[in-house]
Amino acid sequence: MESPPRFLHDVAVWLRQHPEIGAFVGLLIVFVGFSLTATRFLTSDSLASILTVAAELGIVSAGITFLMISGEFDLSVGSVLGVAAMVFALTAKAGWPLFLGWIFALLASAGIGFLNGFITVRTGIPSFITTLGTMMFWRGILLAVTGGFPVSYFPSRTPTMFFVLNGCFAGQFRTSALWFLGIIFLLNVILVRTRYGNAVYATGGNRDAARVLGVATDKVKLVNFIISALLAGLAGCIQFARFLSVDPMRGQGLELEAIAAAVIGGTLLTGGAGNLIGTLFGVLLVGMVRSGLVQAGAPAYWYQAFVGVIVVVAVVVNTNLRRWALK
Amino acid sequence: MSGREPLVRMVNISKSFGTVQALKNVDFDVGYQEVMGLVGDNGAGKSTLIKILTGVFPPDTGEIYFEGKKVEIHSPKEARDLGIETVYQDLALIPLMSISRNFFLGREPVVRVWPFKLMDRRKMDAVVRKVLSEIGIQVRSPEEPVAILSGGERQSVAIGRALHFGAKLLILDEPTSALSVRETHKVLNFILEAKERGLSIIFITHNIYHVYSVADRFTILEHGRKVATFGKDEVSAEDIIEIIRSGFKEGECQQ
Amino acid sequence: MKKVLLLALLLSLVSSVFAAEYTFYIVSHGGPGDPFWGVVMKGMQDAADLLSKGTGDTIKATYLGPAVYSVTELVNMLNSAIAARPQGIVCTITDPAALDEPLRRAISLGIPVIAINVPDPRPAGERIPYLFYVGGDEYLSGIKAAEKMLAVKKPARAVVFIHEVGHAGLELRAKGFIEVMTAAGIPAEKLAIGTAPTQAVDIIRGYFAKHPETDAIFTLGPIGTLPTVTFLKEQGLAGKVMLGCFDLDEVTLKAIKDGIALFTVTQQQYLQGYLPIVWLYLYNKYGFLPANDILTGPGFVDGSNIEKVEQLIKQGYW
Repeated sequence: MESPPRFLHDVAVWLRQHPEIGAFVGLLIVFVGFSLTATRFLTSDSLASILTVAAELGIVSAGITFLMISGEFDLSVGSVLGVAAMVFALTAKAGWPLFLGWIFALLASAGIGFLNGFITVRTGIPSFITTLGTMMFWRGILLAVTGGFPVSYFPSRTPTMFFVLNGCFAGQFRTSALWFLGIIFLLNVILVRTRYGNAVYATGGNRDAARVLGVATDKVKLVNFIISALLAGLAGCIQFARFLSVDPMRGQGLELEAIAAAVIGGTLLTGGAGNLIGTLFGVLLVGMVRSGLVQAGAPAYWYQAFVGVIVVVAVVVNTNLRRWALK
Repeated sequence: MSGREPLVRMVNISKSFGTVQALKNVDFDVGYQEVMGLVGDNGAGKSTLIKILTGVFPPDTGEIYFEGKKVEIHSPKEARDLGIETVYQDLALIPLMSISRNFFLGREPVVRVWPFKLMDRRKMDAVVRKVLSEIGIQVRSPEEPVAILSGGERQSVAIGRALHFGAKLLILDEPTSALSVRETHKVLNFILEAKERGLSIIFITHNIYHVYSVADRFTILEHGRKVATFGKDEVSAEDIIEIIRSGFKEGECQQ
Repeated sequence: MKKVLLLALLLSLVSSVFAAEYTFYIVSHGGPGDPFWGVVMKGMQDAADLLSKGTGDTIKATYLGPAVYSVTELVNMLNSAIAARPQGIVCTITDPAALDEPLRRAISLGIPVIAINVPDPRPAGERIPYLFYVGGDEYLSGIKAAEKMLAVKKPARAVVFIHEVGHAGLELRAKGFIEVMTAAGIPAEKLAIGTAPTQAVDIIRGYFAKHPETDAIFTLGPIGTLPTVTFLKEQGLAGKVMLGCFDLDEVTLKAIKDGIALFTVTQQQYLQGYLPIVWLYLYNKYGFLPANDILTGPGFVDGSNIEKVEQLIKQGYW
């Protein structure tokens, strides 16, 4: 058997360890494409706007990525985002100190995540089903509590808390992007460089094998459910800090977009592989597509179709790259 | 048979699941630096016995002695802490993860980079490189996923892992079943080498010829009871096959 | 003394024989917890109370609506109402196909039916033969909104932000608006912005990057108004771009007060609860019928009446 040329072999080795490369190349292609065809795509405002969209989606997607790598799903993130935003809004309106309201909203999110994890781990029901149920349940609670009407809060000046969460600086850049990048970096270090991250990969790669080798897979999953919901709640609060109003349908449909971005970034639906850098690229790609389409003058209806195509293409490309690299 | 106390001694072990009695009054022991073949037809109780030894569930009756001391093993982790490691057929390594990560799973060395405790990847890679070269496996880098290793190579890495972490007793569950002739040969050789290095091994299999080539003794189970224990010099492989196939007959010599 | 008492007793007996009792039902797709429908309920109750007090007859009105949107639930509630054999039913024709059979049955049983909030869009011969419709007119709302803007100034470019593509009501609003603008020679189009605010702002920004001369926006509901107002404020375009909104919520009201929005279109849903009760009474008692549908919208809230409307919202009338 002839061994492959050394260079190609090196590329394959590197590829095996960096599944996010597919998303990066896709991102580059989309970036160049829109730079050429879309009006004023390369302006600071335009790029800042893309980053702003990516930030909120990305924070949610980061949490979901972490959970997916350990082999579970969270379809309730959209409802959690709505609940957290609503809790934040209601406490602000009731006169609570904003920092306290924020913490309370985060605790509520973590609580929902804990419930998701507890039910999934205890009963063995696939998380897809559990979180589908909790997604509908919390959305129903949201509607019942608010009666279907939005809740708004109008402070006289921008409070510091809101500025910290989602304030503007350097033109149109927002602090939400800093939250996003910070979270990506932090989670990636935990995932790729710590023992816990190793346990996460193992739990998702082969739960039974991990268990046999002494990994506390139930605990890992529970923690990851909490992380996923917590980050979705954070995104909800960040969003509220800018818009100051939240309607009970807020966040609907978010879960699929977040999962799509993770999958584009190389995270396997079956778990055990992926990383946050891939999610970073996936989220930027998705944000760029939407922005670029509008500025290129395409009917905005194209966005859904485009992202759908990209997801399929990304999975095919990632799968084939992976297969080729393993040969 | 060694003159001193065996490494592991399981005495009068019984276990029932509802109305099914999986094990009845089984005595089982493995000596130091010994390869013990644990054989028997399907449903004989081999995996139940092993699960008790590795802490998956407790026995209904009986005691376990390890290194001469009575022990109660409540979890796989406790078994591992005692020095009992298991290599299951498909559950030894996680294919998507790198060899390094697999090797050190649950026991990763860390380096303090405040505020984190990060895995010491340099150390991990160095150790794995050494072990791989000892086994005779050629890879570009320990960061490669386990998926690139063949079945036999994976078994060897798992055995090498047990050796490295100072296991005293290694349980191999059907280690050669899915392997080619060449790979089987390599793994069997490595088992012998592990024994040389001080490890005791329980070899569970249906393939009597494979285990016969490396084992020192054999324990045959049938319908939850221990049928017999033979030294290699007391039986041939065909004898063992015959016993399992046709069931134990009274009058056959028993230990 | 005894004679006076006897007379009083006789009179009340006589009047109770001649005093009639009327039971009316409003069956709608709107849940009882929804503040929008809360206003409709108040209209209904106020009409029933006022009529009872003023005429000596007893008018009882009940509101039925499912807590969570469900056409099946709506039909179930309608059937319950029909089974009670009331003197009149008021219904939102949210799903003409599903409501066709029960309503025709009600009418054949002699129960008069008035449609509110959503009419049956089919032509006169085909549609459910309710007496008439009380509610807003989506298409007309778009037309009037455009006219109101043109009365202020002729924009260079107009755009309608639609947040739920395919929604019949929203599409009609957009259609009316765009037709008037186009007829006035102004380039006008729809832009789908979706329901997620951060993404919506990005889409709006992208549109403005491509068409910086845009200076007239029409949003079709609070979900579209929120990102629009945020965008205008953040970009410093408040006051430079004409903004017309739809429906009343805190954000929209504040935008009008702050001068960011010119007006908002309302369908005065209080009347959708109030008028049908009055008409059912008049029809039952005297056989009166209006010659046409009664349009409760478009009504407008703008700088001229915002203060008053805010007060009335607190009291539940708007």
